[in-house]
Amino acid sequence: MEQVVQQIVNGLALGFIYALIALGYSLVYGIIRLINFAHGDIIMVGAYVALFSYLILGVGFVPALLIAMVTCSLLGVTIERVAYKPLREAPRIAALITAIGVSFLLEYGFQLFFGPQQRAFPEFFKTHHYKLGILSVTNEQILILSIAVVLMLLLNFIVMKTKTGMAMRAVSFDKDAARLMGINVDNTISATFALGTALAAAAGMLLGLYYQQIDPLMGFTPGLKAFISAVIGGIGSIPGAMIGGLVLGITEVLVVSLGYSTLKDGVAFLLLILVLLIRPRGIFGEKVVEKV
Amino acid sequence: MIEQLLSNFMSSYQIQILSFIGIFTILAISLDIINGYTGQFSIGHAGFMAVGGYVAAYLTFYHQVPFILATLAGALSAAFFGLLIGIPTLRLRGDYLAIATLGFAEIIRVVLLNLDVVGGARGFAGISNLSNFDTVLIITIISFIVLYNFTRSAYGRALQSIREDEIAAECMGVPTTYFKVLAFVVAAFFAGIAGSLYGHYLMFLHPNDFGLLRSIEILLMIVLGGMGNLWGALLGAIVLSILPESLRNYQGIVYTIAVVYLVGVAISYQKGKQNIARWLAGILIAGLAVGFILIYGKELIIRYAGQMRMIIYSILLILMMIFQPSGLIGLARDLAKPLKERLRGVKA
Repeated sequence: MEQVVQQIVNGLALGFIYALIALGYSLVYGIIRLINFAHGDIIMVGAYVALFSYLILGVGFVPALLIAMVTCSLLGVTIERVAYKPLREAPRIAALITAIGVSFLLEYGFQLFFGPQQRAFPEFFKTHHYKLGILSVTNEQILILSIAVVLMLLLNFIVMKTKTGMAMRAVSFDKDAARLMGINVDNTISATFALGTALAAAAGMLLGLYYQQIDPLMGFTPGLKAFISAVIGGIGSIPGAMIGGLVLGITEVLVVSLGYSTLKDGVAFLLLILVLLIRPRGIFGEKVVEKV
Repeated sequence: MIEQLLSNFMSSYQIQILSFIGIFTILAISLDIINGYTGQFSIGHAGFMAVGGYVAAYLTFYHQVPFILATLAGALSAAFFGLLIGIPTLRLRGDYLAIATLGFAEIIRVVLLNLDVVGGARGFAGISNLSNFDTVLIITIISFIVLYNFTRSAYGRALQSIREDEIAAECMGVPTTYFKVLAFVVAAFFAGIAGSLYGHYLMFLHPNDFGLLRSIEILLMIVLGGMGNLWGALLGAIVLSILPESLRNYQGIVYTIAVVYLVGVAISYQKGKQNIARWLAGILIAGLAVGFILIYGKELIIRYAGQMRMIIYSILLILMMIFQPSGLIGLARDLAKPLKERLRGVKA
């Protein structure tokens, strides 16, 4: 029993990282209805930027985090403008194929320039173990949890309270109506990408801390799992993405601790197919009425 | 028979490439049934291929079942899995379906990795060499004819009506659910055949050969050739089977880039023929730049040729979708149109 609780605590950190990525997915999907396959690879870019700003500039944790987030925001906006914007009126499949192309371009481009090997991610802090009754928690886990929570609260504030956030919600509700109300749709979509990719960059850095190593292909699987989290929670819903991430993170850690680590990716996809069969709109998703 | 004929003037390496073109043609035309004709989106085609390949290889390896029967059994098992994955399509659309098919193929790969009876992570070695160029050629031609007629039958038209407008199709009395599942079953059946040919040709199977990369490769074939057209899928399979081989040495790279440049010239002509002077200047500058890179970047190109394949694939995917969504077949059709009109005496 103790072990199960301990594993759940360990799973929380991973779950919050998934939740952070899932939020970015949800944001982007909510506004242009496109699974941004490249979202997972932005995670990888974020981790690399953090690593290099540590190695070259010698900065600490918080500046590295900020540099990674800003760089990836710019990258995200560029990708949107160059690859996705020309296809906004094209069939969805065209945009989806382009997204896969962007994802592979990032992965193999990084492999070409920085080598396919794994790199050690710097330990920004000395690891401490804290005893909380029967449980043991590391300061890294606490850091991951607190950064994730702060960013989620910040995101909620931006989406719910600011003017840009209101524009985002309007565009995701009805693009044409929003344009008629004088909202600059292109800029709003760019802002959404900037926000989503900044979250992904932060998640990449936290993922680096969690696994202590990074490589050019590190982002794809977490990206897919974050998408699964978003689907489980209900795509487009902020609390849904969070709950979905936690469910998936904890399930995964439990499967690994039972000794089935080779099956962990399969379990995530099984969960996805089950959710899609039983409740396709997810836990918090709204029912979509089909209009002709 | 044909293999012996060809071996007079072709190396066994070239014949092997021709065989792979055949196998990939079957995969591409069958994926085109789902993605091109029905307008659904599957990125898990390698999963069906894996099922067919492993089932057939299991039967010939352990039970000495004749090759044709084993291939049929493999194809039927793949079709059964197509039915399984087709059922969620009743509810899923577009992007959700894409992720579900991807997940499904991943589950198959993970299960195969853990299945010791077919070698697990070591791979399935010692499969008898039961398919050669002749079998591949015959089965490819049969598959093409069957699928070509299928797409032109009432069934094929029903699938295309779903692609054009699912709700309208339903209103006209097309049982959309039935046809979407049918598309998956038919496509999976042929992917299973291709898997069996692949396994018995290479005499070795490994679960990681059937990962996402393989599915994307097949997807790229139909995107490049032109979706919703079996000739396009054939063209895409030919181009993408030869491309990695031609990227192996500098001479091949130069030829490849020259061909890509010519295709680019043709595509830009479609967009830029209103302003011929600007178009000419554009292709001239691009041509000079390409020549410059080829001559002065020779060392770099040779050093990184092996790693460039995936980057070239991904750039091709993006550019094709933005500038030439109808693929190479669509380009050929556009270019031939004024010629045809002149032949018919219509004023353009």
